[in-house]
Amino acid sequence: MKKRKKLDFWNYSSWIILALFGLFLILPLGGLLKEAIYTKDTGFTIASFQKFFSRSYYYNTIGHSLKIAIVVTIVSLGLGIPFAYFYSFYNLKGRKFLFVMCLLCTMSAPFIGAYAWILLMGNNGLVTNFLKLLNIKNITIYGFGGIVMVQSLKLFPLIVIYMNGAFRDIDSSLIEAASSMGCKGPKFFFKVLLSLTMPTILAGSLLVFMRSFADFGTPLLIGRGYSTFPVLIFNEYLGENGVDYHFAAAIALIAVAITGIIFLIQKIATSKFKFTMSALHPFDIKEPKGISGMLMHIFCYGVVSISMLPQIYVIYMSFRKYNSSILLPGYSLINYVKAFEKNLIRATSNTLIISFVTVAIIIVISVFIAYLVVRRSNVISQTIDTISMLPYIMPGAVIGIALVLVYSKQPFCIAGTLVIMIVALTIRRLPFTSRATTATMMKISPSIEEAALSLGSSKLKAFVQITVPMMKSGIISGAILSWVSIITEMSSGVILYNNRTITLTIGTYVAINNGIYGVAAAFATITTLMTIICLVVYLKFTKIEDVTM
Amino acid sequence: MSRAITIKNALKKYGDTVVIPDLNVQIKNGEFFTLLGPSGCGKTTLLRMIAGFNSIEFGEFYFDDLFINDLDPGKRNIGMVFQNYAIFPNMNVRKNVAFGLKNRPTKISPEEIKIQTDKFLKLVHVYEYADRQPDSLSGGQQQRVALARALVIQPDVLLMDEPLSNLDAKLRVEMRTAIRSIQRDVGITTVYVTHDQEEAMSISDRIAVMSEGVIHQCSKPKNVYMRPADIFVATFIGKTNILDGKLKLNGTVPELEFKNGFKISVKSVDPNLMVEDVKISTRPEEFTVVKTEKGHGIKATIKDSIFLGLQTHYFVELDTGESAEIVEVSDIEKIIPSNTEVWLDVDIKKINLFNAKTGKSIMKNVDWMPNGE
Repeated sequence: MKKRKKLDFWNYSSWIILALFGLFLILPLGGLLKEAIYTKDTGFTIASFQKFFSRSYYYNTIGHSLKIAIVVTIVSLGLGIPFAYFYSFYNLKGRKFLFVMCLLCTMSAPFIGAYAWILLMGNNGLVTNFLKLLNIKNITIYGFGGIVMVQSLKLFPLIVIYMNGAFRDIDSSLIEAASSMGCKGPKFFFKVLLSLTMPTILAGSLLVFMRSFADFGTPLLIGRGYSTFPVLIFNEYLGENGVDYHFAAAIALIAVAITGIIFLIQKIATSKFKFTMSALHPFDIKEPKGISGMLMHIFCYGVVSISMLPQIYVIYMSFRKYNSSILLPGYSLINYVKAFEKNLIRATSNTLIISFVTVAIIIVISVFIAYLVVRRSNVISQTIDTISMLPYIMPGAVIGIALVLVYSKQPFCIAGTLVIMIVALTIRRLPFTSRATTATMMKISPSIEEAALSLGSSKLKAFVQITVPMMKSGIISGAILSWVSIITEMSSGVILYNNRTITLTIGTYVAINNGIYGVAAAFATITTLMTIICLVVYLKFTKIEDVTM
Repeated sequence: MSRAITIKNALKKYGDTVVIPDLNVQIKNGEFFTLLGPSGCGKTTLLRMIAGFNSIEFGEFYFDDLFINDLDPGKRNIGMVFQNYAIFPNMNVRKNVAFGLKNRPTKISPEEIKIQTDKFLKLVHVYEYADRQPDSLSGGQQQRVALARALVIQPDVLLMDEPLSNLDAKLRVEMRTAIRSIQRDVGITTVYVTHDQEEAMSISDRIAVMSEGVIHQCSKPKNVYMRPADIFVATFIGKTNILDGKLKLNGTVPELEFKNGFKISVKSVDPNLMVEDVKISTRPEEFTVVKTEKGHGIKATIKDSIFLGLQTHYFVELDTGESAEIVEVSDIEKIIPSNTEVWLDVDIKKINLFNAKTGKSIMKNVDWMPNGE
């Protein structure tokens, strides 16, 4: 008897997904590569790369970005691990509130924090002026220190979320075993807790590192002379002194190479700590007591307040009276009125349309990928899985440029439309959601589907009636997280947008650029509001202990 | 309508690894048939080949005379019960049971679906939980729902893959009785996979003892226990002591000689299979302790004992140099202390002899595979 290969529904869908990836990911990447090493006049050339490495102004940005990312990762670990430890092991007052605030910090639009810090600690900021009164000068948000502070305060909650999950997976018997062998205090913390959670620490560090490295809004707003890599890409692409696509493409490729290397380093590091845990008996949460308990509270609430401060201050500023860029005493809604004139409605509706459509596409594709990877593991599905992870190492600006290069020419002229924004965001967010759905899928026993098949159901029907409903909670929480990050997305959008396809974040950016700070605050407030709505919906579907990013 | 199952020359490979080399078996209509073996012996693989979830590399599978190799699982009209129950967590109990009825090729009216669903919910005693969600049910209740869901579509065969292994010991005993009586009521051909030999004995009409993809013996529980076909079956089913011995003819009667020279004549050896070097399988209860009398039987020294209420187990060292375990019904008097010397007699009718080279039984009346080749 010969084995028959049946072309079923899943075969077709895997080919379709592969084709979509080819069209919207591989083709643009190819275009990027071609643009970087090939010009019409000279043919094959590495001139762009030579240019990059010949001037310190260019290549220093790599150093800057790496330095920032490393310091931000270390600071985030320094803040996040103790925070997670106190949060997970002690019954702090208002635990839930603390955690929700953490989520909100990390979900908020990246550059709104930066913008708010300008208002607080910029040249004419509230804190700066206050310090001037005390005759303290030269404290500024601009430059390296400012970028590190803003990014760390935004990214440390990721470590908290990761580490909280990891701590909860430690079985109480492990802790008891350690203490029965006399391992206590700092030794216990470093030798037992941290080494048990090492895989998570590495995974969390990578996430923070990547986000910091690819962050574009923060250094753009407060970098001042301290130029980072994503900012350089953006400037070369939309530079005032003439556009050099070849050069921008070359830089973009270098960026992908660097993030790719870091990704590989992390993979190798993680493979050395390959173990998994799940707790049968989670440890008991202790009551914080005495001075140490007080210090824990001070630390956690202190960190969260500083992180939340800019968000709250922006909302406050949006209700202040402004005359274009000059702050007047008193309160008004003038900023919102002005914002309406500046496309607030269009930006909001664009943001909603883009986010809904993108999330819908992401859900469908990631559910399919999850099914194909988990249940139909073969060469095609493995290829899809690998390709879908590519955007993980691609900074948003790179995706933006790659898409523009390929899709601003005939026959696929979709540049300048909402479609290209949707494509860019889909590609950006897909790896995160498909990871989540794949993890959910792995938890579903195949026998559930087999039960449906044995009862006469068709494969498609079993998938729609049984598998998808079982994945529901995983899909919803993944989708909402994607939704938030799409709303707050900036880096690819800023390359792809035009007046018709403006979104809330880009509206904020444009207003800041034009110096109308009140309007920017109004845009930012609306963005924050939408983030909060997402968070509330998300927490409706997800238990607070199960939050993942 | 219940059907018989015929499997001819089944071959299963995963890559280059052969899991089932060449398997033949016939399962009668209405029979409760158990595939028993250690984990990795291919029993679940075979069951999944019957169900249609595993590909068949070679061989022919029939339900009566219907050739099923190329049929999708949904078209084989099977009822399947899974190890983890595989209850749909997003549907309540009633919807779980009704699921199969809604997927029949010919449409069934909602009224009929309700009647049938109710009937089977009552049969397995979960009718009062019909509107509950599965996660509020205990393991035993979920198992009953799974059984009802498999039976309600009136399948031709019922396939059960270690259905009781996730339950605690007491519930397991209770459920196997329930499964057995429901299977009798419905009268459906059932293939049941388990690694628990006690479960297999208590529930089956026939047991196929498997190891490494091969059926070693396929017979009624009593035959498998009393006259195992080879050493593997003897050791896998129940406990046994394997001792060395010589078989010689004393006149016309075969005489078994233990290593210490103790001789005893055995009538139940098949004369055609006689060999000199044999392995003796003596179950613990087939030894009798003769405490005082000297000179007859095998001398043994008690090394250790375990009191289990009804019985007492003794671990002894025989003067043949071999160790053995023996079981005595507990006595009101004291347990024989360690290092006591005793004499053992064997129940010659019950012991089994195997060819020392091939491991195959040389006894008369071994029921190896009545419906096979």
